[in-house]
Amino acid sequence: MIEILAPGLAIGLGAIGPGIGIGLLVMGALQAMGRNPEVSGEIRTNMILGIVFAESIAIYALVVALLLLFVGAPGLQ
Amino acid sequence: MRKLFQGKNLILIIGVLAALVISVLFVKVPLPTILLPAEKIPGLKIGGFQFTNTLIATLLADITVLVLGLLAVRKMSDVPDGLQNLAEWIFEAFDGMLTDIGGKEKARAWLPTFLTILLFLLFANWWELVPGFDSVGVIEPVEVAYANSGVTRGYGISEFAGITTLTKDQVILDKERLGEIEAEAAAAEAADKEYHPEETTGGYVLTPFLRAAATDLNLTIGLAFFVVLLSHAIGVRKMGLKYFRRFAMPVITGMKPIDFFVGILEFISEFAKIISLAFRLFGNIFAGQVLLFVMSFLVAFLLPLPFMGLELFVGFMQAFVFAILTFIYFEQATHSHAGDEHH
Repeated sequence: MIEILAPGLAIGLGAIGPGIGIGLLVMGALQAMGRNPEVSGEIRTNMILGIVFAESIAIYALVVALLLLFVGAPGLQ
Repeated sequence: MRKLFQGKNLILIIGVLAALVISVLFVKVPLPTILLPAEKIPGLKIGGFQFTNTLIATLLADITVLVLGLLAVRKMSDVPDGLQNLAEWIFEAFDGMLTDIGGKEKARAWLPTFLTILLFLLFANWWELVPGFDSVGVIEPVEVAYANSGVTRGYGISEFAGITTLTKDQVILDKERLGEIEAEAAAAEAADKEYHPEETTGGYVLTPFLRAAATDLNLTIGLAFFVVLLSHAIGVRKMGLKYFRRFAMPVITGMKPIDFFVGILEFISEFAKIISLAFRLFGNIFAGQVLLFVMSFLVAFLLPLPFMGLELFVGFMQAFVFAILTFIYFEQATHSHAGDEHH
């Protein structure tokens, strides 16, 4: 049972923070674009970079989940 | 809106819906065996070197970039058209973008590295969406797959017009059989022979010839390692041995204990760079692959389509992010820390 639950919890809990972070990031970027449409290209590049950094935390959680799912934790079985 | 449901469109919509219903009811796709390490292709061994399916996909992506590049420069003209036009547009667009980030000189110097990584990863990721990837390969008994990579679930096979396909009937190896297989495989290895089961349970596993290149950690970690190493080389070339001061005793605040810890953090962050670059690419592409598998497993028709579009976007995005982070790491390596210039 715990073998199935562990990867689910790993990615499920790990995705909360990056989800909130990406939401805040895009909100800020869109507000900035609305106020300064002439620099929206620059803002978009930086926004994507920020999203990527926030997303990479979710990816760490995903990697842990995948490892638990396919390789298994030592001592679990 | 009313026009949408008339004549040809109506026939098209009904046809799509009918195909959807038929595919939900009758077309059953087995869930592919999801494995973390790349699968070895049985029989493809040159001089003791075992080819894996991700390696072949990597070579395929290499060849695609090379062929497109050579085709683009074959007939050069002052007024470009076709492929040359596209290549020039790509160069100009990214040259402009890199100039915005790092200035003209740096953009010119590192644009080739940037575009090589971008285009290679782009094609490596997009090849995954071509039909036949992950689905055409060698069918082996599940016993062999268990001995090689620990797969315990096989599927039945059916033959149609000379082509063998997997069906949805599952065969799961039980504990007793697993022990037997392990003993037999160990015996075969001791005798230096390839393992072939004497009797099979009727379960089979597909080993695809091709699998998305970035779903192999060897590629992503190798590429990330190369990029970070190159950024150090660039830093040393720019600043000489002074470059290594950032890891030992940077002068930022002027207070020695703080600067010492900043140096340690800098040192650790070099390893974090490799890990985050490698796992970001790997995680995204691997997750996309599993997503496509599961969607085609649920409904084989129409449902995977939007996810294919998503993967098209993710594939470009990850290639772009890897390349732009490469550029940013290079740029950081040529900056000395603020203190060095002002004191």
